[in-house]
Amino acid sequence: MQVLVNSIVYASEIAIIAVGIALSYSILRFANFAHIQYAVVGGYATHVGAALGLPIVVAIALGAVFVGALAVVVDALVFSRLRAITPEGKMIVSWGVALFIRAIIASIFGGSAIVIETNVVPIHMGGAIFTSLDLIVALVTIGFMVLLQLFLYRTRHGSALRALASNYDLAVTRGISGVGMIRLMWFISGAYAAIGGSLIALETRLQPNMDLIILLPVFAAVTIGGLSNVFGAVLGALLLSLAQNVAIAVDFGSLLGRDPWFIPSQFRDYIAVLAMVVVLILRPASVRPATA
Amino acid sequence: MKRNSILAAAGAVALGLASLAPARADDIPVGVIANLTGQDVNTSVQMVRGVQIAADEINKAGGVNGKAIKLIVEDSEYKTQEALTAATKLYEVDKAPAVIMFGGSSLMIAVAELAKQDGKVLLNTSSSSAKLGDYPGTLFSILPLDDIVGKALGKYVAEKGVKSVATIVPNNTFGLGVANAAGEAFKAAGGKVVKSVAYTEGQPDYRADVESVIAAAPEAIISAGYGDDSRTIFKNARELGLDAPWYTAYPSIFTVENEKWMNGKLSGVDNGGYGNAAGKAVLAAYKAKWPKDGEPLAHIYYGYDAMKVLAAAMKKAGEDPKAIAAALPSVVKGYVGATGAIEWDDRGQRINPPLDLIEYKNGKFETVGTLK
Repeated sequence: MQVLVNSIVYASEIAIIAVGIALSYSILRFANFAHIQYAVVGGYATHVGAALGLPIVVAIALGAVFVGALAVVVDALVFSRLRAITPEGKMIVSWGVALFIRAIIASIFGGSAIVIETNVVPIHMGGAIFTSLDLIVALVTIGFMVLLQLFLYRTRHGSALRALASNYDLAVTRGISGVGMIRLMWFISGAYAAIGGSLIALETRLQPNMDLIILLPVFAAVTIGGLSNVFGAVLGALLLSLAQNVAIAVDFGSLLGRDPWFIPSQFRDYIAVLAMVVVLILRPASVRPATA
Repeated sequence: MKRNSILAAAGAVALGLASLAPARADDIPVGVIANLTGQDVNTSVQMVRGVQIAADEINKAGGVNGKAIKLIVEDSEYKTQEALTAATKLYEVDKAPAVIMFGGSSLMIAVAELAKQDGKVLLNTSSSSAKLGDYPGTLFSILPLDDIVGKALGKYVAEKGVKSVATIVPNNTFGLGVANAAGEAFKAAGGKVVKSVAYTEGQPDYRADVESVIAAAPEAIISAGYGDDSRTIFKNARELGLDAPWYTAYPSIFTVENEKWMNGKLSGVDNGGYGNAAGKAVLAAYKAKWPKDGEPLAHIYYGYDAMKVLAAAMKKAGEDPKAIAAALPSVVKGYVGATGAIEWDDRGQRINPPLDLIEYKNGKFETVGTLK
């Protein structure tokens, strides 16, 4: 039960960031490493809002809008000029952008960890312990996923985005504004990353190197779910999170009839790599460009 | 912070000048290694000042067997390589029979290896890794090692009437040293260790670790830790509802996460005993010599006692390092210094040191008593 609860909370934090990567990949066909920094910037933006005395919800919302705009600006300044180069080239450029954003964050906020103060109540239910914040994190993520689902499948803009993802050139010749839609896509993916980053900041702590802590599970989740499939990313996050949390919760020592022995929790991330490798071997189709 | 760095810079300059004065043939060279630049500068400078206070006092009273003590201070920059360079210079060029040192365990062990090879003496005023006990006849500690403090902690928790504990420490020499010593002492006193957690430093959260402690339902926590990681552990514990009291080694180096939640919940054992007559005299001498620098840190007392016991040994045995090493254990018998009565085991490590009980109350660490 505890494992399930931990998995859902962790998956929520990862999934909301991962969908943005899937979204941009499905339309522009490259893995955007700078996306991780959008999450980090979102966390710091929420910290600034909270420090200015804003209610935490308002701080997160403003942070999301800010980062959404930032994602659009970064695209206008960098990625839009490089549409013609190879996906590998774009990926490397995105890593450069990521390092640049990281350096800016470190120079403004310094390298030490920042904790956003929250009032959290522990909840004991069915043999599991979780906090009121965990509950909020999971609900917020589910809410935003439903919202994204409604947007993509129930609105004109959503249909346009899906059309672009399925066949960009055809969609543009049929009168869809490619440039405008790409901006919208960046805004959504930046804002979602910021919300995810803020949730992680509330649950743990802010530090400039948190990007590396998020990077692996998020990309593993997207890869497992199929890079261009938005809801595959959610499923990927859940599967991955479950695999990680089960692995560290199983008492391997007792299974072998010896003293209790657990996989130390810092190996959680390597389980993500392992899961990713297994999926890549078993399901090579999932990393090919596919339809959203 | 700024104040500290100015203080440190001033100290470094003053000490540097002191070491430039030429040594006369009838002076006794005594080496001092400290981090005058780099990390932990302020604490280092304070230790050196303690040594200076003792040397001044000894020289004013006629020196050691008619010879004045000449301090030669070298900077280790908190780097092992620099510490070794400094030690080589002091032992081989300046011909100092003994060095008084401030530095982390990794530096101290490196210099201890060198001193052992050269047949010289090293006095430790700052490091507490239990590994330092492996240099009997070479390295003598003024500061009690972690295993001693851990043992006292375990015993203290058992005497509080606690029946079961979980240990939570960082997975490094310091953390494991405290956890093992405290756990063994607690078990020896009839208690039960229901869970031992050694966490990896620098993780964003310790949820799984804290949950495993909650699942084991201990009456109390025995812990050691510091910095951001200790704050994250407290945050996870508070949010997940771990409500047991925390008994710790060196409580004041923990970073408290939530004042209100922590109030009255964090206590433990720390080095102490500076309130005696010798300690008060050192404090007065410090304030007379550096009137503008405010309250000193406890490190002055360790520096002072190191110089005093070294001088006593040289008075008895002369300046040959082997003779000094042989004399040191006998001269500390009955010596009551600024850090209390010094009692060594046969490794030259302190046992039964005066330890203070510290409690976190109303946002501050307070000394509430002395451990008997």
